[in-house]
Amino acid sequence: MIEKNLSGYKSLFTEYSELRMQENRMEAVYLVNGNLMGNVKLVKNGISARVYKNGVWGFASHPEFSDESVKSVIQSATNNALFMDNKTGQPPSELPGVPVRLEKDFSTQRRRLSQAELIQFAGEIDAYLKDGFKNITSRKVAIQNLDMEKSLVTSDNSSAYAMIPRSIIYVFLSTEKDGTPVELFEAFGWLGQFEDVFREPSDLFPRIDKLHDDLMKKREGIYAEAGVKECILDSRLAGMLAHEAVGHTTEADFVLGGSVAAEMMNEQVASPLFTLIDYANTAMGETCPIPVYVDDEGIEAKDVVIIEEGILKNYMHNKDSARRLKAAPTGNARAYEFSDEPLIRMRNTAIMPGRDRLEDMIASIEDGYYLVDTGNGQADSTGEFTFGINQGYEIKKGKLEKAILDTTISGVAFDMLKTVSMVSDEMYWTCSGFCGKKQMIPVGMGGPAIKCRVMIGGR
Amino acid sequence: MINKDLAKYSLKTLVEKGATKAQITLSESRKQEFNIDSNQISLLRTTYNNSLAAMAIKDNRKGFYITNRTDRKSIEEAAGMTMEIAEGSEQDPAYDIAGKQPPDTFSRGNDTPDTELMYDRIRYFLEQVKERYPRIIINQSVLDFSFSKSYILNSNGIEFEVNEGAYSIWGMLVAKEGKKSSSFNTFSLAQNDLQKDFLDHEMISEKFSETEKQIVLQPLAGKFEGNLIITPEALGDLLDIFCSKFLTDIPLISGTSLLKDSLGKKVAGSQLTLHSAPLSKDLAYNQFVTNDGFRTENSIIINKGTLNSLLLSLYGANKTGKARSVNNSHYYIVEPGGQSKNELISSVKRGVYLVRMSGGQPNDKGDFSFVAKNSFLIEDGKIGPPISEVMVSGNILDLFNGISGISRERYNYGNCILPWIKAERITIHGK
Repeated sequence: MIEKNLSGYKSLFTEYSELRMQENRMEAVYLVNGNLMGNVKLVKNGISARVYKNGVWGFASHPEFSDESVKSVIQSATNNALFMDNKTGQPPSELPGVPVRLEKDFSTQRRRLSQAELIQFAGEIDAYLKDGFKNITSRKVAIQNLDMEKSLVTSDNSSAYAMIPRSIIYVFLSTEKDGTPVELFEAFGWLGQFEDVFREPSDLFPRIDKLHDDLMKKREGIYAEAGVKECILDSRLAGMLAHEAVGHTTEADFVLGGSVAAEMMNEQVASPLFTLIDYANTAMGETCPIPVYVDDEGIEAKDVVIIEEGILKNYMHNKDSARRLKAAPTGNARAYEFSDEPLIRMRNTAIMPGRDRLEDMIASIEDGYYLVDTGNGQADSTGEFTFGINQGYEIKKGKLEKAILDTTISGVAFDMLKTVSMVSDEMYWTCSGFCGKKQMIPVGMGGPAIKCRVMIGGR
Repeated sequence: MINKDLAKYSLKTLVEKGATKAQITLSESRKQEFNIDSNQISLLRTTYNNSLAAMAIKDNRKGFYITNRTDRKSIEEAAGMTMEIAEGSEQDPAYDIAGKQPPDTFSRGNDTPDTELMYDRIRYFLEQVKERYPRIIINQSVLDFSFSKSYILNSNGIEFEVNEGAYSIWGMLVAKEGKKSSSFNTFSLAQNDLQKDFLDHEMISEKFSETEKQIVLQPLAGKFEGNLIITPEALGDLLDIFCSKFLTDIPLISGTSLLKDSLGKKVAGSQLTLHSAPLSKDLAYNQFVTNDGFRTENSIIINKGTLNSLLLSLYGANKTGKARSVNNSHYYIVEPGGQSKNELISSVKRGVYLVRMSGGQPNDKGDFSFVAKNSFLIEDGKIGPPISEVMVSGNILDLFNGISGISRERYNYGNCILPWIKAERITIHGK
């Protein structure tokens, strides 16, 4: 638990300042073939202050919370800002901002499970895998819960408190084909503490059965044929596309740092079928998986329409990039731990669904691939992206054929997005991953299936 | 402030709460950091943190708890929480801690930074970049000094103290001209002092000159089987993948490692000798105590192409019946080869000079397909144009077995020392 209201310390501010208290709590359970290889809780908390002076920042943090340590941290951050101001001699400047006060708490009202009960939960899933699937050669079950609890006060009169939890169960299955392993995994989970997200292990069994079926198909899989192919990227992949391929290039710090999107504002960068939004907290009437209401600079988080019907419309901003690019802050400044400074980060980045049916999209391809799921992805300043593909199928004459083995797809986002010719009417969100920049941060990603041309690796 | 008495109190509390075997690591750390963002020095950051990592075993049940609160009351709460986690655990006789060893104190580097010198170095670095590489934008760069003091104690009587401080710099850069941008490129270096300007390190300056050449890239048509000249940076990534996929606890305990029965067998080209050398004086960072509480030793992972050691923890060793690794891996040092870097390049008929890889993790079989980033075509023994959207595919075990050349030249990144290597028969394909 942290101190919800830090307003009493505002009198210690002498420049533009932010004071944040934060506690991250993580629980992890990791079973490998039934062996408990991870059984850990982690709690990290403390305070930090960030101070702005004429275009430069000072930051300081400390793990103890007391009147004395708060005073010391604010003084240290202020000294750092003044050192920087004195050295760099930037012209006077001020940061934009509109005060906001808000509290959001997604703590469960149910009885909290003990670590032993989490182990039991994972154990029941493991037993289902062991007893139910005789052709599995290796199995892993992991629970990873993260609570991020923050309070904030700023010198420009914003204050906020938020407790945003995320709970994920990962299931990895391996089988063998001619002595070599073939693996598939799926992550289950959502916004909320474990007790609100998962009720019974058996609730997951139908999805685990599907995972096993898919693994058996992959076991008989073939290598994809390398080259540029017409593909359907399933809705489970679309979020990664939204985040990696486009999202990063439109973070304003990347724009200032050389991203190709810097020269594309108000230009056609994608098919008119393509609209991309970074949602703050609520999408289509539903709470997003990683909701942000007030960011870590005290800005009320707003949705950012990045691409609207193929036209690049907006970048994602913090206060400083908004000042430098003469835009409004969007509430994208987020810090991972108490000792981290806020950076421009995506929140819940999603491609908008279209009107096509997935079946029709598959039927429209003569020779290509249906790419279902991804393990990871990476972006570039040029918009060039690469995703690992861990599940997919050949499409021959409009029909799904053999499964394919793990591969990688790549392309240049602003070229590839112009080839988008169909967009499905579904919407699928994921939130199991972390985005890595200078710091890691949980993000939500979503979208429909899209039909496009993309380069696929193979043999 | 932490001290040895507090560390002893942490261990004593854990034992009094019922642990039959216990280990604690009590640490404090300080960091001073300058940031460059978009070619401007933007931030001075000072952070302090503490950490108590408590591990307890009782009735063959193990629990682990980590907190950054290290006052006596929090230590008592942490001990209680550790025992609760342990008591809820499954029984496994493979859980254990290190046996008694003589107490020791290990120290490396300074305990305080020279803040003025740090600022001068980063300011001069930025000025030189603007002057010598006018098309480069440093998207972000961080120069930091980190110091940590740790006490590692266990109930078998180990008492180690580790003090370590070092400077490190990393950065991400882009070249830009008009509407065109290069791919991101990256650099990193750890040092015990700041005697040299950063651009006087060839491994950093060459990143800037290479990136300026990468604004206009050449697509590659078709597909061919060729060679890779793998740069030290890319080799570091490949070594991490090789070791984590085949030699560590999870693949060996789960049985998915294709090298589980390969000790003493050939797993790489005979020129490759790979050390894990956490005690090397040539590195800026060292590691003196393993995660399990053993004094670290240097080891040879691959000796002239033959697998010499696995990278098992104490638990992994107990679980598999194989030998425990004498270190936590990493700190790679690859022995130099007999050819120069240029001779390696000259020997390539057609291939790719691989600087950075982007793509999915290889599967358990070791199959990979990466996009070659910041990379160049090699034709008839000469480095050609920078390439775009070129994918290299193969199998990582085949790649290591196909190592046919290693350079005499190596880069010392401060946490590893690596050469250029030549790999045979890799599938390379463009659009």
